[in-house]
Amino acid sequence: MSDNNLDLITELINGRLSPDERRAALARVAADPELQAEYETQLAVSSLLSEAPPPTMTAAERSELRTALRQQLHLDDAPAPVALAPSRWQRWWAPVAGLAAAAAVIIGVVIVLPDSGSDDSLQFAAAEVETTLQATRNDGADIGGSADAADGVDEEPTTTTAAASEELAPSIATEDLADDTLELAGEASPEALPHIPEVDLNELGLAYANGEDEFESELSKSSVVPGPVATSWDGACLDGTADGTNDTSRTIVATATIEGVHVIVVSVVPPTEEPYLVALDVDSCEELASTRP
Amino acid sequence: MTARSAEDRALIRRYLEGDVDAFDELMRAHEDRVFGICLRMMKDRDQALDATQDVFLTVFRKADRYKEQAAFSTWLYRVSVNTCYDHLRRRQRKRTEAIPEHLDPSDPRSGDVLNAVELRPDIETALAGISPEFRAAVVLVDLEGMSLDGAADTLEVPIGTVKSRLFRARKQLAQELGNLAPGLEHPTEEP
Repeated sequence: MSDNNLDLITELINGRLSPDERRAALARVAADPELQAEYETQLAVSSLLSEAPPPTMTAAERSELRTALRQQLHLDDAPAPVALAPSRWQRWWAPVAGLAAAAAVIIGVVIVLPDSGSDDSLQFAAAEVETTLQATRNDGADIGGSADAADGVDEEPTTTTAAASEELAPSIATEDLADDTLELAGEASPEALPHIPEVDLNELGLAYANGEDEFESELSKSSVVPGPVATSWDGACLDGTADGTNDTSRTIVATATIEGVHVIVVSVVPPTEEPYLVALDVDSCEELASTRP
Repeated sequence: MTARSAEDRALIRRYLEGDVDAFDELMRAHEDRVFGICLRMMKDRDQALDATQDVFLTVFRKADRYKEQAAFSTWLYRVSVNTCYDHLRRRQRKRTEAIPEHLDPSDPRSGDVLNAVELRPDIETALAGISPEFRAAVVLVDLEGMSLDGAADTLEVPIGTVKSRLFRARKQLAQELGNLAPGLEHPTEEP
């Protein structure tokens, strides 16, 4: 079926053709048996579906839904339901600090072993970040007082080679690691990073502190919020003005994708201050964590 | 702008100002349709209710970000479809863990069939067998009666993509459903 015919059939069934256009389209369909058969099939399926009655909720379901929403939105006790309390940021900040600590280990590897560009050292660095990205999530769950064990998540520590990571993340869930990807800078072009929609880190931080399920749920919701979406990443995060002199060197150490949130870890070397690491949301360039003194 | 659209915008503004009644009015206006989309996307009633809750949670939490250039309903249905995608992905991920076949939610012998919907069971099963992207196009256009333009806005894809998904989805559904009644409108019958 050519694109033209596909277009023709769909327009005939769902489009807004004028009477003349419609007549012409139907004549064209009638002149081609194959096209006619396809049109009839498509029309039959469409008709079958459009005749179905719309589903509705029962009164009990409706009531339950609204009650649950009222509770979750704090509608009965909060006059301004969408206001974000500053403390949420603090709650987000704490677990993400683990990321910065692990990233510090990476930069240690990169800086201390500048000549050891071997696969081993790169893999070591990758393992560090992957472990700690996961670990920070669990750390957040602990802060929020929620137990992953209730969801059947194995809380046994599995692997960590960095003392800092171990200290910050006493428990590491392994089953979600497959969802996270990490690439060391240089192995993938930064421009090739996938697009990510706007993410509300305040909401995300709150969800994070409430446990893994809510965190994942909030992440998935974040991805559907309409808003400015970066069509490409041009390295703007590295041109950040926070420390902004031209003499400040900024280098991507690693990129990671955590449930759809794309994070870069950047080493910043100011001309007169100590070097530090910063984790940035690629899309917004928002700083997630930093080892800045 | 339609009356509904103007009313939605006013309700959102009132909600953001802390008017709880606006919440109820918005729910009354849209909950059934959102539930309908979710149910037809998810197939399972309980999961559709969960997804519906997540949709409204997202919408009310992010209400301050709603840009009034677009119709509220377009945004709402976009959130609905995307939330369903997310739930389906999560369900798929869970299903990759070992689940006894008789408990597999997609298994027609499972309890889901009892929960399912106002569609004929064979249509239900056929719908569940096509990809979520194709299903979304069919749900929005054929089941919810949305225009091609509206579906394109909701799905954030070009209209040509909607047409293509719709066409292919119906083709797959026809194959799944086997013999279908002849179309209601035969081209040769047109004057």
